[in-house]
Amino acid sequence: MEKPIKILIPMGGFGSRLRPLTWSRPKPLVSLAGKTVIDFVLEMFKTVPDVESSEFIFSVNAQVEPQIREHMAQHYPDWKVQFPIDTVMRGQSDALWQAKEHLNGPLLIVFSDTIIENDFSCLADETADGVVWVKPVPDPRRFGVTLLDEEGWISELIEKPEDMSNNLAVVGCYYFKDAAAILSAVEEQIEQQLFLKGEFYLADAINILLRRGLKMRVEKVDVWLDSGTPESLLETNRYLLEHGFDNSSKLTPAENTVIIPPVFIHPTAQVQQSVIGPDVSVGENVILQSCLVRESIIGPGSNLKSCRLEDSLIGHNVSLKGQTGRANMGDNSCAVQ
Amino acid sequence: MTKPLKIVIPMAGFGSRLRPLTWSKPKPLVSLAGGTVLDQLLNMFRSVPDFEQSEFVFILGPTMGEQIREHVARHYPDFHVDFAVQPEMKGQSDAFWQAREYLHGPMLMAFSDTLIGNDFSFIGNESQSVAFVKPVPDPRRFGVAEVDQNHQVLRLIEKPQEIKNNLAVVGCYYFEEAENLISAIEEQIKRNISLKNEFFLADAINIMLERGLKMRTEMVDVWLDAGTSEALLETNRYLLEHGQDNAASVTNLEDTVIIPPVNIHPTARINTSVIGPHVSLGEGAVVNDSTIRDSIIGSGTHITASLLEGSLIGHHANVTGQSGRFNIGDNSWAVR
Repeated sequence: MEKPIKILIPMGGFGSRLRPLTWSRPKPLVSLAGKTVIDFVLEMFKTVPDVESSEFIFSVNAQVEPQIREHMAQHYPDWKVQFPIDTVMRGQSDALWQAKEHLNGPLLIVFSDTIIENDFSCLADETADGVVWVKPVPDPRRFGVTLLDEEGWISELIEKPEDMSNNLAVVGCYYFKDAAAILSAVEEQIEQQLFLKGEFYLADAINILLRRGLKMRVEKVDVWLDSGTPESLLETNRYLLEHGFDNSSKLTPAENTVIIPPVFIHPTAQVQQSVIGPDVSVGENVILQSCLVRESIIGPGSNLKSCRLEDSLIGHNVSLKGQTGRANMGDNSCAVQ
Repeated sequence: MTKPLKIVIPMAGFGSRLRPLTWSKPKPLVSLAGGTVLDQLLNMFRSVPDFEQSEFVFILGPTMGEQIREHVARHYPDFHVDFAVQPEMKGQSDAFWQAREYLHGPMLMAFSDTLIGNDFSFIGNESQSVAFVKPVPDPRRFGVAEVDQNHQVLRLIEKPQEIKNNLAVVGCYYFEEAENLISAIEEQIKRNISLKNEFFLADAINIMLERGLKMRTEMVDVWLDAGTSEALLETNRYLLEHGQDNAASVTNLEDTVIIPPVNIHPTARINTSVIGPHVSLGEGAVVNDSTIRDSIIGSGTHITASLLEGSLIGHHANVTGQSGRFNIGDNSWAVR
């Protein structure tokens, strides 16, 4: 390839399905398996050809921009990242349009709550005009799907199909050989006002491209992890801990504590007289005293005493004492028996 | 009065001491005694002369101001309200400076977390500016007014080191001429009289006093604060005890004991529970098999099989099978 691939991640959404965690932080910065959601999204680009030269474009709204910028400066100081502000929030295509000055040459677009297991090195020799990543699903009716012609090229994207005959669900990851093509399709989409409930969907712009005769193929993935709801975030946490992000073997044995792998426990966390795991992420400087915790994410700075929690999402700097059950609590919450 | 009274409320702060409730809403919209902090604040101004003719000026922060505009449009459609925006947190004086186009003539101001139990009807005959003060046992963490024997303010002193002068300024002032305040703030900004990058109102008032402003003190009996979770619960208790109780009108109860004072929204549903004293229950809240006292429960929240006290629960939360003191924001849940 002549030019390094640009990687666009639209992150302008409000993350309302992940409230209360997203009242205080954008969805990409929600805690997951010892890091944050965006860290795992970025992790998956390691196989992109010549990724060191790639420029990242994070389409953000003005409210979340400072937090995301700070996270990148702290954890990825050497990365080239642009932060175009999506001022109007009119959907995926519009996010692309607002970022247009940064987009040229080969372009990868990934939505900020999509994590897939995929080897992007194939893009070095890509001959198609575009690639849409898909996963076969048992019931495609709540997804967008790709329709293929006899030769296997994509003929159309269909949102929420009514029948089950086509089960290749679109996962939210796209490659375009030339950003100018998709931008021109978005321009036509906006001109024609092709939107749904006030939002311009990328699928409609891609359909314009397909009608213009562009050749796009599908790439199948086996693992597609979603982190858009509390349930899917916990499930993704479980998957990641089971697939390489467990750190239980590196932990120094804590006082009177049993660790049931897989877990991620930050080295600065203090755990005493507790049973932690399986599938638990414990953030920086957390204190757990006399707790039983499984299948949960405990955010940095939280302090839990005498709690029995499962399937719980606990934000940053939460203080809990004597609580039992499942909880979903945002930053700075407090519950004391 | 010839010109309409301006009632000015700076509300640009982040309300960080009221987290997690203020992650999702500005401090003036936090629930309190059957309304919001802002509703109670507006209520306290009802004794000003010609209240209906008063013109409000709300100074909003860079974020979440839209929620306040919506609240005003929905609940106070007949009020004359001008909105100004303070884009950066550069202090109280800067807030007034950002709103200067609306500030003319007589002006009453209060900070959005200050509730006082005063009768403001005297303002109709007032011939000078007024600083509302309350004697406190230890004034060292407050600002105080230094006065002469005729209760005339000589100057304001921030966090005095000695305790002989104990007249704490509560954050409510009446200015005869808003223009004089704006002119003093202009000088304050020009001379950069600031502390930690914030321009404090006390310094602008001191400039006005140096220029010969006549300002007297007015004693405040009841000074309520809504800036922290403990203070909010205490203010809730006070307001429920002083006029906001609606226990007598509550219906929709099944096998339930209400211990006044409480404020229960008419759309709330309660079954087999003990509610009160000092409980505010929001619109559409549903309580089953629970005991709640000394708490503020937001709208749309479900409480089931729980024992709560001293708790602040946001909107659309769910608490089931829990006991203790909770401070959880909108859309939180804790389920056994």
